[in-house]
Amino acid sequence: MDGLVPVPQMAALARRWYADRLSPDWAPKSRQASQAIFTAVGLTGPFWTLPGG
Amino acid sequence: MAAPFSATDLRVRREILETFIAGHIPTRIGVMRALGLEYAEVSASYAVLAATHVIVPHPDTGEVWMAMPFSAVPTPFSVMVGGRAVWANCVWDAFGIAAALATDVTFVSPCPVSHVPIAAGVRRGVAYAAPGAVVHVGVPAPRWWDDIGFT
Repeated sequence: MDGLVPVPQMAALARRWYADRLSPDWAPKSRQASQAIFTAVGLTGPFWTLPGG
Repeated sequence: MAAPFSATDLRVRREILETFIAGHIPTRIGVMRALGLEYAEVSASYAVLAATHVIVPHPDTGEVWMAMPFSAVPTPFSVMVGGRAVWANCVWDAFGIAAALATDVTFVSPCPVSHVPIAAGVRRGVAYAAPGAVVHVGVPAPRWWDDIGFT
């Protein structure tokens, strides 16, 4: 199923998604940058495609 | 994405996150006092941060409901971090608290099928959970913000 994510993969997603959350240089991620994070951790396909993609 | 935030917006955002990290729930009054701002300034920043999905205000109170990865209301994902308990919005966010703070965490997540608690967390930078545990993301990405509370 598209929505079932093994824990290591979810943790990898969280690391990439949130690592800069408290950085002084934080800025909102573009849709493309967000989508690239999904792709980098192997979450692809329509289920993981953000709006506008 | 062009940065839509003023310096005040960014200070308000940071204060919200720091309040959660300290184990407290942010309020507009508290942010106002902490930053020496007027209430209207804080409210204006809340509106900007909400419009850009940085925070989710509670529909009834206007106070912060979610500032991902943190939740202002109790959830099934109580995360122990640095001797304090904070609430995450989901498993993704529970691991996200570890990532944002660059620290270890522990949390217990109920299995959505059996309701049996599953211990998980990050230890020495490595995520762990019960063998074979998977995370169920129930809403596809294109629809996450249709109803973020449900998501």
